[in-house]
Amino acid sequence: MGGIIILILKGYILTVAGLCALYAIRHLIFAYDRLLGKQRIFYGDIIDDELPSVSVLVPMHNEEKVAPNILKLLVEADYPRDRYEVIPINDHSEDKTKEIIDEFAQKYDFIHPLHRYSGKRGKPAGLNDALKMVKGEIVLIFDADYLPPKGIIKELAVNFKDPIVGAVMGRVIPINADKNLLTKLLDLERCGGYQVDQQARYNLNLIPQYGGTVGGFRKDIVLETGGFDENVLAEDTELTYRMYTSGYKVVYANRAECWEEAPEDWEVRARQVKRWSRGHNQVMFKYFFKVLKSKHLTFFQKFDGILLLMVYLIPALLLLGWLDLLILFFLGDINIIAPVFVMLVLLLFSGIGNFAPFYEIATGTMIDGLTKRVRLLPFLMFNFVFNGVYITLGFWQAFLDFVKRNREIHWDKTERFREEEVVE
Amino acid sequence: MIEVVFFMIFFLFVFPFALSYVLASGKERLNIDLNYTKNPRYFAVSFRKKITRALTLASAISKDSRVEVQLSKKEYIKYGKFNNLTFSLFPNHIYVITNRSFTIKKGTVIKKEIYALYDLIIEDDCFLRAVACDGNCIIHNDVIIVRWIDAIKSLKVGSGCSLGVVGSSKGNLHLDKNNIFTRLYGYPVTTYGIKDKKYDEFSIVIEKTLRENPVELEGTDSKPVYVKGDIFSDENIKLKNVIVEGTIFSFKNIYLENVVVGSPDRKVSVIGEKVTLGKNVKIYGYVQANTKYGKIA
Repeated sequence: MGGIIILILKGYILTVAGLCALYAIRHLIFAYDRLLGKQRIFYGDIIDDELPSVSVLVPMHNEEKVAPNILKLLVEADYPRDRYEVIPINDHSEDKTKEIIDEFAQKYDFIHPLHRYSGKRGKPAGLNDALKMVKGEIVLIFDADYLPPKGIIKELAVNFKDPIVGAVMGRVIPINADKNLLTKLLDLERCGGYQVDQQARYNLNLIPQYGGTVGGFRKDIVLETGGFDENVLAEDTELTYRMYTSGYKVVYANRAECWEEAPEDWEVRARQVKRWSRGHNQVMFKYFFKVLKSKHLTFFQKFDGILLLMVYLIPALLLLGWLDLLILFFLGDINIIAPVFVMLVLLLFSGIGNFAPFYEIATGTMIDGLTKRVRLLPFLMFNFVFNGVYITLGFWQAFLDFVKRNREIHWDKTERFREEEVVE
Repeated sequence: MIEVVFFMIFFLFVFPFALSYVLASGKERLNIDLNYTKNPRYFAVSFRKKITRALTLASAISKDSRVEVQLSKKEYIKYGKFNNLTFSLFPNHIYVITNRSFTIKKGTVIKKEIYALYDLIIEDDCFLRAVACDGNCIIHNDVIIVRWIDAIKSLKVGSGCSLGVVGSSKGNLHLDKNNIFTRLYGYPVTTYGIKDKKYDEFSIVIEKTLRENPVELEGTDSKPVYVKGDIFSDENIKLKNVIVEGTIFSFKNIYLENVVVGSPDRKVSVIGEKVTLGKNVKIYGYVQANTKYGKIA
């Protein structure tokens, strides 16, 4: 009996190490593709006078610090006014968000506010209510702390001229990258994640991901498939997989760049990571077999789709792996090969695992032409351990959501740090 | 001894982090121009703006008519009327030519930008970096443009030319055989053998956007195929005797012959990995191929 348990424990270590190696190879391929591979042409290059009608949704909950900035920028957007509307969604705000929105709505007839002071709270619920009043064929979403440039609406909307495009995602860049160590590290993560990872997935015709902001989708597809699931915290990942398993594709638009405000506080970041992990893993439980069975996906798309679904599961598996190694050690059954595995797992995950894609970040900073910040790469090891803990907590929450089907979900809003208006 | 080893390990662990933090300090953020909107003539428009600003700001053009301008680095402008331009004249200057009509003679090599305020003719075998022309611009044969060429009124290109990154005109951009391009913009872009013909009958009418892999449509000279929407494909698109109201986009190759794309009321695009334009093609708007993969057959 004891022998079987030890065999299982050793087998588990081998499996985790194998998975780590798989992610490392994946990141290496993506970095190679961005450095030396053929870059796929963009829909964003299209210039056409006939553009789809667009509704821009801005979910807001107590956003008085940032609301004026985004509304000013959306008012100035370069898009035909007869095909454009902005819907700020005021979701149970207790500060001056309502007054700010109403002031803009009085001045501009294409701003149609939605004030929600009853019903379920949270982004998916707010979006579902807004979808009922949306006039445009295409829905674009910007979080309230984002600063959309003048041309970005056109740059995103033009992707939908191709009928098989179901959703589009732009590039996110932290405006407060220089604020402190955390924002610098997040800036590096974003750089690798968008400039390399997302773009390579687009180049290789795999699964670029819709990220819930600086992007959008076709209204009809979402309504026909039941709107947003209000019990899923990662409505963006859910939408990505819904699109792919329904026969549509998600496009990544690298040139549609938009500034966001990255968390400046480790506690806020921890809550954000936990929420993302919980939401992403909820989607994993929901779509794992749907992806495998889908008739619309190629073999490589299924493979990448599964790896992407498991991204927030791996850190939890890794922490269990470390525990597994400790047990083996105290059982006295850790032989000469085991420490090699310890090192292997540690190295693969700390250095090149699924959340510390060093190749990608180094490649991304080089493409962006900003090379000074790449010197912070060693710090990503700390970031990885930090993320790993909160991702694991998020995973277990998602697991409980899966087991207790009707569990109530509370939306945890990310705190804003902006102290002054950045748009004049 | 063991203490020394532990100290070394500790130091080796901490040192790279401390060093990296110090080396990465300071401000470095990816900039976004919040006012940016896409413009296919961006290089030329931005260049004109900078030159005009520099000339306006110069309190008086100096004795040798030289003005300083900040482009990607500090450059000098040579401004005035010229009889001739040769490489040896002012090799490190941007020329702003004020002649009513000016001709760049056969075989001229100029490694800086040229800005003609009126009409411009470029004779055979010239090698130029970038050209902005506010009037009509005519290019003869076998001319190489390294970066971009833009004419406000019209741009007519002979055969065997290479148009660099962008060839553009606010008006008509007409191209003869055997030219190479990356991006074109004109209102319209036309190729050799152009016929302005109106059609009352069509062999097939496709009412909406066409999304197929691949797309091959062929009408007849008297009865073309009429596509009322756009055409998108992951594979090749080959069109002969076709009228398309909207945009044509392929992730692979596009071949057009006797084709009209867009209309005077609708600016559109033709975008593909490789784009080959045959005879009698008229495109109202923008054409883009991946670097060096655009040609006039």
